[in-house]
Parts: sequence; C-alpha cells; structure tokens
Amino acid sequence: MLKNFINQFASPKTYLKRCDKYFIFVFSAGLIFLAVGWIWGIFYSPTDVQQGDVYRIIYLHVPTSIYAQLIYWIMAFWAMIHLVWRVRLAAYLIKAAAYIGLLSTFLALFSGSIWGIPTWGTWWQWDARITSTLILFLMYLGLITLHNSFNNFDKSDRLMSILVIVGTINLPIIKKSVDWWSTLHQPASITLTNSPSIDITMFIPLMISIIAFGFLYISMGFLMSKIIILTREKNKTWIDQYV
Amino acid sequence: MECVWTRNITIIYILFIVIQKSERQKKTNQMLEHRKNRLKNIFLILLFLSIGVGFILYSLNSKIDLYLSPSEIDFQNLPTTRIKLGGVVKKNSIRYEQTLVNFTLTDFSGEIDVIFEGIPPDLFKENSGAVVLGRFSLNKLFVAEELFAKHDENYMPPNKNISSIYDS
Repeated sequence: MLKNFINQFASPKTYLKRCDKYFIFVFSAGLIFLAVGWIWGIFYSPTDVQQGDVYRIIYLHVPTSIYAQLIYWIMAFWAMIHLVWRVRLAAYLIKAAAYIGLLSTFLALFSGSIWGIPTWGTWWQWDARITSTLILFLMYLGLITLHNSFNNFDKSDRLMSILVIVGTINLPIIKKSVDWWSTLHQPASITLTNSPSIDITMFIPLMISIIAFGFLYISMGFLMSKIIILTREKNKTWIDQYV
Repeated sequence: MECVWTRNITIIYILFIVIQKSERQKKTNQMLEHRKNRLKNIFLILLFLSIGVGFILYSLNSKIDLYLSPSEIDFQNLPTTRIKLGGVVKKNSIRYEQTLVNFTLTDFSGEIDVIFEGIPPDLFKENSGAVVLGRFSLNKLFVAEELFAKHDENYMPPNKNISSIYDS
C-alpha cells in the first residue's frame, strides 16, 4: 500500500501526466502572484528612507537569491534518492532543476550588481557572500556541462548526483558568509528567529513575490523536465501511448 | 479446566502469528544491504568534505574578510601595501573641500582619518558603514582610491522614526 504510493512518484509516466494536469494552475498562480507582488512593490509600497527607490530591486533580488539556494537543496535531496534507490526520474529532475537554478543564480548576481552600483559604489567586490554565490553559479554550470559531456546516460546521471552532493558543502557557507566574515553585503533582513528588520509595508509584497517566483519556477521545472523525459525515454513503449 | 486450556492455546497461537507477521514485516521494511552502504557512503563523503572545507576555511579565516577594522591596524608599523579598511563613519567627521572628502572611520575602539578624492556613493553618510581601498601616507592619513558604502539590513519608509532601530 505505502510502497505503491511511493512507487508511483518514481514513475516518469505518472509524473508527466501530473505535469500536464497541474501546469496551467501553477503557472497562472505564479503570474497572478507576480503581478500583485510587483505592482504592489513598485507602485504602492513606500520608498526606503536611505536608498530611495533603488531598494525596489529587492523584489527581484531576494526571491531569486532564495531560490538559487533552495533549488540546490532540493537537487541534493533528489541526488541522494538517485544514488541510493537508482530512481531514474530523480536524475531527470536534477537536470531540469539545474537549468532553473542557473537562471535564478544569474538573476540574483545580476540584480545585485545593478543595485550595488548606486548604493555601494561598485558592482563587484570579492567579498565572501558574492564569491560563494558565484561559486554556486559555476557549480550549476559545471553540473550541466558534466552531464552533457557523456554518451552513457546512466554514468552521467550518477556522476552528476555525486557532484551535487559534493556541492552542498557550499550552501551553509553562502548562508553564514555574512555572519562569519566581514563583507560588503549586508546581513539577512528576514530570519526565522527574529522579526524582520524590513518594514511590514515592504515585507508583504516581498513575501508575495517570493511565493510568485516559487510557482513560476515550479511551472518552468515542469516544462524543462518534460523536455528531458521525452528525449531520454523516447525508446520506451509508454511514450507512444503518451504522444 | 478445558476451557482455560483452549484459551491459553489460542492466545499462544495468536501471539505466534503476530510475531511471525511482524518478523516478515521487518524483513520487507529493511533496506537492502547495498542501498544502506550507498547511503552510508554519501554521508561519509559529506562528513570528510565538511571536515576538509572546515580546515581550509579556518586557516583562511582572516584572509576571507573583505576589510580590516581600524583597531586591527598597528600604528607603530603601518602596512605599506594597498589594503581595504572598513568601519563606521564617525558622527560629525565628514568635511568636504572641493572634490576632497575627509572623514574618520571608527569601530568604536580605534579610529583612522581617511581622505578621498571623488564622488562618494549615495549611501555614504555619518553613522553608517563604509569600506575604503587605499594606502597609508607618511602622516598616518589613509589615502583612499576607492570608497564604498555599506548598507545595513534595515528597510524603513521615510515617515517612520528611524532612530528607534539604531538606538536599540
């Protein structure tokens, strides 16, 4: 009973059916939340007393930075599933998530640099937070390149999973970098233990855009994994029924 | 008597079945040996990796810091190379003379006078963080080639009383 319930999550066929079913809901939820969050954040939330209007880039920077790290945690979980139980679907999902993580990390670095020019006076400094995020970006790039450089998919899946596990060591470093070392980057405004040091009128649209990016990335993940599953499983019999 | 006997036997029989079933359940629930080994290997990789990276980061600790604090500077033997210095801009210390900016960086235990030529970034102001890149001149004045402003983690609309968060 329980085993069947778990096994159905490992089947690419059931997964694809669910993707098709839920894609439109997740995608439209993402668009609605994004519209609400960004319109609220850009036109209706107050300006910051120190930075003026420049601060509004947090509605892009904070969600993309959060998901740059969160996607890697999820990939690490799937990598463990793939290495221990040899679930094919987990490897497909890692590959799909790596592309989205790459995009998210790029957006985080890019928006941070744009914000840095007027506020810090520089777009790049080799401080611990920025450098470790750059390493995360290169990690995503390396994972995709490693996976693409083999003809034997079983081998490349396994190697990619091992590299994902190795790369998780970077995640606590990114998180704690602003506390352990002196950096140009500011410490976290939103923490689990303290009340946010960001005013509530700015915090609510920020939370909405964080939720929006979550939905959008999930729907993008549905599309990416669909492409990957269809190319990787093209010789299987169930594909004929599906297509 | 007979009644007791049959009851005891049925109880023993039921117990036997339950134990047997739970044994069977245990066997199916047990992870296969090779899967356990793989899981163990993953955690070993993570353990050794974190120990290794931990040693590296521990030995690099001060090198990873972006800047030195004013109290870390030894005035008897000033660093001659280009360094980054960071701290809080002291209150009432900023003076502008044409294109020159003169101010004092402090970490509340040491102070260093800095001179910078150019346009400071928007967030450069008193009682807020700044990082300078440059070198010491002979009269212990820090000549900055570049000036960066730090932003803290507080976001506030203008109509609220901002001093409340800084006082606490």
